[in-house]
Amino acid sequence: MATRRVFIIWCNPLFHESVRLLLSHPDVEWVGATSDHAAAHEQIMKLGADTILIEEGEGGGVPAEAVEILEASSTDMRIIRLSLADNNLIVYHREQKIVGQAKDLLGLIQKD
Amino acid sequence: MSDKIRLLIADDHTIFRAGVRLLLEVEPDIEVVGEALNGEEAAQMAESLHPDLILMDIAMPGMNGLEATRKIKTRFPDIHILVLTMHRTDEYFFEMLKAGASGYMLKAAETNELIGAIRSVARGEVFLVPTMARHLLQDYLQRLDDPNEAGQPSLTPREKEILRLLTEGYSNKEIADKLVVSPSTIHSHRTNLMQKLNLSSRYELIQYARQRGLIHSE
Repeated sequence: MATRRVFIIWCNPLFHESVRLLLSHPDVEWVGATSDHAAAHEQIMKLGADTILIEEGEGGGVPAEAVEILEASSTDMRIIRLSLADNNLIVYHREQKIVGQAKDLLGLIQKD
Repeated sequence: MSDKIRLLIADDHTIFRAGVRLLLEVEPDIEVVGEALNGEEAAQMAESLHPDLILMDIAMPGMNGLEATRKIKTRFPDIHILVLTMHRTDEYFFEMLKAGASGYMLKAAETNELIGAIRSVARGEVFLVPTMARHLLQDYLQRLDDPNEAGQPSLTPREKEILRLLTEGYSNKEIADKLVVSPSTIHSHRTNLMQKLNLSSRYELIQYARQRGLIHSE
């Protein structure tokens, strides 16, 4: 299985660190992280990430424009929305999954 | 006997709960003894595992963290509760403290802040996230400023109004006319006021009102 190059855009540091620890796996290569949504696109392109984890902010929702820009960047790019408010993992335009176990997140990233 | 802090995590968020467990397990003085998905489980596990400390979320399905804290603190007052929540509202903050929590942390905290809070609360100290601690201080100062709140029974607006009119010399009937109620209603309010304030005469009522600043001395 190909290693996924993962980048995270986070809001809460505790959640960010938790997710990174949970995804300590040979199939996951962490390429970067930022809490600055506006600066994320440039970093993602530069680092060649193919999987983006976006933590939804407290106000709810990830800016639609940000998702569109990221998705237009590469057909292979997988964008997964996470939120501290619920157990819903959303892979944009592909699928939605309620997390039953913590390893479900890794499963979504590994999925071909 | 282990000198580690035996900790239970109660949170319905699967990824967060599992991740926080991993974060805490690397600390040499913390042992995560269990994970509860809601308040009911937390209460059951408090009984079966008797942890030193419970990291308690508030919003959980079924029994929430507030109810669970009340239940656990009633049965096991020695178990420390540290709230770990997204909620920044005063309502949750004060209710959780009243229920017996000794700490209040936000999920927006840094990992080292959380670990510090766990250690403080496990030592029997109180740990409040500074922004929320400020709310507690403001509430305390407000109570000091309001003579009616400083350790005294609280009076309803109607009772304050009747007390003011009594001290101004109005009779029961005159007050009843002013407030468009029956004299017996005023009599009943007056009796309740005296019972509530542990006073036995109109004179004592007037003295009380003056001392508390509810009316001004001539």
